[in-house]
Amino acid sequence: MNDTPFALAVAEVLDGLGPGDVMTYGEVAAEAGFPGAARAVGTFLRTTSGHPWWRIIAASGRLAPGHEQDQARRLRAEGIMVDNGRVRPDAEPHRRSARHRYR
Amino acid sequence: MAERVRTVKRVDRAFAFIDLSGFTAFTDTRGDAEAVAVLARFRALVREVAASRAVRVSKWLGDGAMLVAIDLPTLIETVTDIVTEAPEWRIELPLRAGVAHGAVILMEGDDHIGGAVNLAARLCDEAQPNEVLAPSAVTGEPLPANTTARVVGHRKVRGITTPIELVLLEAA
Repeated sequence: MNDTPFALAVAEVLDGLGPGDVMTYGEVAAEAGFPGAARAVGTFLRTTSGHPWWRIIAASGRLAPGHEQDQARRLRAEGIMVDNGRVRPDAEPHRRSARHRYR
Repeated sequence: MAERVRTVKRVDRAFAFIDLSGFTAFTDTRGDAEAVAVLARFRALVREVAASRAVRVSKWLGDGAMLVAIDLPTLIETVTDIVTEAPEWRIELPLRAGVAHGAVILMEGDDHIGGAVNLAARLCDEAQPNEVLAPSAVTGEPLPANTTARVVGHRKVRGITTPIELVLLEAA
């Protein structure tokens, strides 16, 4: 199941993220070559391990339901601003390749 | 014998109606199966965001939903998040919503009766695609940190006698 073209492409995008990188589910799907598959990215993250799940957020900045505290702690440790369960793009986000950076 | 008058207890609640704008036309042009698929994604999104903020989905209403929360800022945040996230969930129709709050009667434990419910429903009907409309009274309470309220002026709302000053709630 994790060696489907979708899973391999999504894993490659996820594993290319470093500290300070944040993407939305939809951005991961699009960069993996599967635009519109945001929910499938969410399912992939919920059912696999070893990928930096905490660097992926909803388009609204909302964190992963049920994992907000852990995700906020991990993001803050990487210099990302988190407020009220939401990543805050207080500074003008800029793109590094297709990735938003929130500082 | 004099009729027995019962005291009716009111509770302060915040209400939102949110629906898929243009769902009927979408069903006509794209067919029932695609319409149901969009509706399923809409409901999944509403469920997920509402649950993450402890907001209750009070009723499903065909192509929409009624949400109830104890506090207004949480409800506003939930609604604007749903509208913002819809495109990523492949919800091909724009959403629109109406929000209002006030004291209402809680009937038989799960139904809310009162002006705030009616106003939220009417404002959803009045809202344009991607709009979240609310009476300007909502700015009397702290707004969520990510939300701005833009005054759009007084508007006559169907079923309500005097024009109401309305705001558009937008994610910052």
